[in-house]
Amino acid sequence: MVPPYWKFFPKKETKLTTSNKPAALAIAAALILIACNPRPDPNKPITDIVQPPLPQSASTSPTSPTPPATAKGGVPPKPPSMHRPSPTTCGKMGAGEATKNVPGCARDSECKASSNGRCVTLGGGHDPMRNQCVYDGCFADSDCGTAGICNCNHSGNFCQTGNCRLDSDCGKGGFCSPTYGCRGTPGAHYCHTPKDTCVENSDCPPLSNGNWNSCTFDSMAGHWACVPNMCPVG
Amino acid sequence: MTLRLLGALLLGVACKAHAPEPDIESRYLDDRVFRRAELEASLVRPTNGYSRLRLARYASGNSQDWERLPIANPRTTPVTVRELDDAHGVDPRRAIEPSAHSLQFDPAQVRRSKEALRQLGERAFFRYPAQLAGSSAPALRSRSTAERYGFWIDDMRGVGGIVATETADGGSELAYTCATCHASRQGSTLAIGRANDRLDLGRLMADLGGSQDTRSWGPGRVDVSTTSGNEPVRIADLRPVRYLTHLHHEATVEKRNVVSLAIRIETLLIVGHHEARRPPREIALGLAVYLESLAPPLPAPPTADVERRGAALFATHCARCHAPPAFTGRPVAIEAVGTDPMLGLSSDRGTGMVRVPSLLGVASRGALLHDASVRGIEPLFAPSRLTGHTFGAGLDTEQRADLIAYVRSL
Repeated sequence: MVPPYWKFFPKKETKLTTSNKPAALAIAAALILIACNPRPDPNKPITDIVQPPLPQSASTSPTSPTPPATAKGGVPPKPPSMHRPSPTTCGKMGAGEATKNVPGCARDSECKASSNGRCVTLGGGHDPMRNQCVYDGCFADSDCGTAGICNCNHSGNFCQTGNCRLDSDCGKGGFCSPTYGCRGTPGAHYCHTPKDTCVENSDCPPLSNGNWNSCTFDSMAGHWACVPNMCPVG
Repeated sequence: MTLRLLGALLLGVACKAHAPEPDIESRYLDDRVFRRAELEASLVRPTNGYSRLRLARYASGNSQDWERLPIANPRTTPVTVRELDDAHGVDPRRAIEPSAHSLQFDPAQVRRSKEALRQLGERAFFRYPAQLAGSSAPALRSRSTAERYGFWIDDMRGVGGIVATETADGGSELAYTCATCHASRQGSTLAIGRANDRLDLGRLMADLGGSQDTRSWGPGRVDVSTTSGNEPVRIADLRPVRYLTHLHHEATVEKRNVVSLAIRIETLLIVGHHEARRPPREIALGLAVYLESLAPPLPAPPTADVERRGAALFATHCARCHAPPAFTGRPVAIEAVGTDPMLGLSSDRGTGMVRVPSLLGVASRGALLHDASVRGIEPLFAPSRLTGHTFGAGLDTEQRADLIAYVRSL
């Protein structure tokens, strides 16, 4: 039978005496050492720069807060060079311009799959040249519902919808400007806002890695900002 | 008594001080120093553009630290086939439905359960916006325009992995997800992780009025690293990523563990959002776990005579780089492979090397080599092909057939 535990620890007087004092001091010292040398704080800043506290994680899955209805437009920091004071219309882009002796259609009259068809030459490089029927989805903004702009395009006019058509849609002193995506792909038009951190591409600092910044509308932030003009990410 | 009490306290404190180390997934979620160390250890060439940007901003502790960015987990809804079939196609700026939701997850559960992480990753693969794509709306006017540009159509999963994501004004904008590039139709099914080798974003951008140079990308190729657009690469097959030693065609990142993959995904999403916001780290980790779960099983040894003969030839001509059991290996110097050196020399992602892709599932890939310059296994071994990755080129007709049969079986 195992003796009770206290048999292993003979009863001694509870007071610290000269015989048990060194052991008690050693134990206390060990406790102090352990308490004062915890694992390194993983969130201690690497540098000595004093930083404001980082955002705390939410206790539930973080969700971007439902954005309040932001007022559209307003006076930007300065007027942009490209904006839309008045509507424009598209002529019959590329009508009758198909290149001879290229595979595909030869005349606009062959393009009957939809309305407003025309035969144009497309392609080049990896994409072989061909004559292709394209169909204009619009000729004027009024063809694009209540909010779209008709983008005049050789490959077929199309409607794009941002948040404005004209400068007057952006409030007093406001401007409605086009955006451009990867490799100059035309994007939609958006109002400039007082929160813009840029108005022109020239407001954006160059990037050190050879890529370049452009000033574009960040629809999730709700204002124009310099963004690296990256093409598809991967 | 005092000694006993002190002894008990000592035991308790010592035990706490030597508690088991948290796993690496937890450390990725909670420990900035750990994340930073993993990033630094995974970058193969710290001086290229890809690495320099991340070293400057990821868990850097300075004023530019991406950790200061707001977390983005917006409400999204997939673009549906029904919308595509509407008279005018997909409305790119429709209001987001009240029922739309962000990616929901229990932070405590995803820490406890790898399956919960995997499921979160699967949802994120199809729903988390990797990059806004409002300018692509004209491609979604109809089924024919969507198919012209290579966006897949699936009754259950929607159109091309494209979602409508909530914007600051309460409206929505179209966005690409991982599934846009890394899923594709294979017969009647949607093969998740398989590269979309029909996706022709270069043609789309040129047709929309952008630079005509991007037509040269061709289907299944995109430039993901430069603004000049002159470094297109094959969209990668993500199915065997679990077996890879390195990520990117240029072997830019060493895949040391699931955390290096999570960091790579996390920084991709940050860059995709113009460095204006970052994803919840649980979502990046979930995507990494999900991608690793796509791994095909390792093949059994060949039994058919033709494949066994092919395996012997493979061992001689191919296995030095594409080593079994996963038929991949460490990166190889670009001059040893002999393909277009553009990527290896790139200032953005170049390392002087190319990654050795896993050959698991290679028969189902449309295009091969990092530049998608070869369309299929037979053309890869064609005697008439004289430049770049010419291993096995000197085989006779029968040997070539045996080798191709074996490679097809992987």
